[in-house]
Amino acid sequence: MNHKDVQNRMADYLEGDLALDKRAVFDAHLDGCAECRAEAEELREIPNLLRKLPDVEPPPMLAADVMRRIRLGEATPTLGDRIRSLLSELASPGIAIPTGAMLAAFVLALTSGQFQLSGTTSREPAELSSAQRLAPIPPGAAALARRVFGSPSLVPQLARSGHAPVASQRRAYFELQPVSTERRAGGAQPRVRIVARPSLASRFAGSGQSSPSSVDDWLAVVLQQPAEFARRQASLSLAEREHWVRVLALRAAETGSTAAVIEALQRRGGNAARTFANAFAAEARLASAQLATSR
Amino acid sequence: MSYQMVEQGAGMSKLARPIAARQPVIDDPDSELVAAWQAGDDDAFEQLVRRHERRVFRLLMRMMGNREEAEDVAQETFISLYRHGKRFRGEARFSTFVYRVAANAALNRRRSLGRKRTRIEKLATRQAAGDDLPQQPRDPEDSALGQEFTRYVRDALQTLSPSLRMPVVLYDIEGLAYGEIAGILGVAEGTVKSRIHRARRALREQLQGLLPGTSGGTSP
Repeated sequence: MNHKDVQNRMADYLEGDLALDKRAVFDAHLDGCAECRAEAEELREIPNLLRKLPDVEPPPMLAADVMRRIRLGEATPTLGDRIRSLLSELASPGIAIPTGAMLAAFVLALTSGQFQLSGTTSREPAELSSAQRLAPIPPGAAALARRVFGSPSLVPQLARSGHAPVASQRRAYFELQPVSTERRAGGAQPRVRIVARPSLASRFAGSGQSSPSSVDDWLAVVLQQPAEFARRQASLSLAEREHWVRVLALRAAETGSTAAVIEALQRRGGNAARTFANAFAAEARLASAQLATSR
Repeated sequence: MSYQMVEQGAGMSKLARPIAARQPVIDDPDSELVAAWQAGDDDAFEQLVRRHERRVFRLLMRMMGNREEAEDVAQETFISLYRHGKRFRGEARFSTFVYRVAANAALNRRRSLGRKRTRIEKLATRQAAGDDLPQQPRDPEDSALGQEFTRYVRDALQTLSPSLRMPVVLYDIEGLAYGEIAGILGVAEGTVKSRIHRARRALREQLQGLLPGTSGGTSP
């Protein structure tokens, strides 16, 4: 075994993976070669050095922070996840479809007349009639859309999330709503319509009244229409939802209405209301503790 | 849902093509909690997070080099685990699966940060370091090595490319077997072994001063 062989087999030697006869030859080389002997000794020492690194403490709130983000819905599958999941089930087992190809296939499906998306990015909520588009879709496509977009409706948020005051935001959303699941006698296909989604504030504007603007207005909305509010709120971005929960919980703690809000949400039931109630309760506990210490 | 798709969904890198056979693991200590979580019990998931957070955070500290980044990636790891892990079907130990998600989160984050780190950034990392030192040394030897030692070794690790650093951290610090690391990184066992050896060689160059039998070293 020459010097180069020893270099090549060093990893096997150090891991004890050399056969006994080869190991003996290797040892004989090390006895006569100071360079290889030093290398073997030093390489053997590296794992010891690494193991002597002090252990690290994870952040004390790591699990709590993760669970808080999950409660706020951040871990729910994204549109891309749903598409991947759906298409992977269509593909043969074990064959992975690259994400790009899946998205391309999906875009192709969208643009080839199976769906038509339309909407508006204007600063004011669009009129329903002008924004809606009816497009025939083939049998099975409605089910596919439900699988991809989830129930009850498609809410991909097209605008970037931001930190502007929530009540003043005007964003464009798109909803996919089955408008008829009945088949007509003439064999017409089921239809879906895709409508522009107005801002949260405009949803809760009473007839002839302005939209709720102050935090107290919004707390009143939550108390009066908990399910509706939770459902609408659930379609916002994470940053917006966190902002809503924090602002409302703080105000509720200040005015002593925390229990009433939670009770209203829980009484209504439903996933969105429950999710919002959990996040609200957690945030309200923090807010109460902060208020207690500041007093 | 194929095994491979789970990985891609969890943000897998090209490094991470799974090759492990899909054999159910029987003696997984996490299996009961995983089953409860998959049946909808979020408290079970929280327990899983608490059970694995130390290992995940330690790996990410060694990979990312600073506490802030490690914490961000640790949160991403568990969010990603929650999002995709319900499809986990016991092809490997759950802990291996967690490592896999963490490893990919770390590799993806490092890629997005860019490969170039300036000297100033490295200096800042050094200055911010020391937060992972133990309150009490574990033994007299640690006390003698001290903070300087920790910095030397941590900085030396940071000079390795992520594809070399990950296997050597998983093997020498986390104590995983070649086969597990191969499954986590999606490469052959031989590749894992050779990367570990190359990493140790590179570390040997960096850590000459700490190794026995070298001149002018601050030998421990």
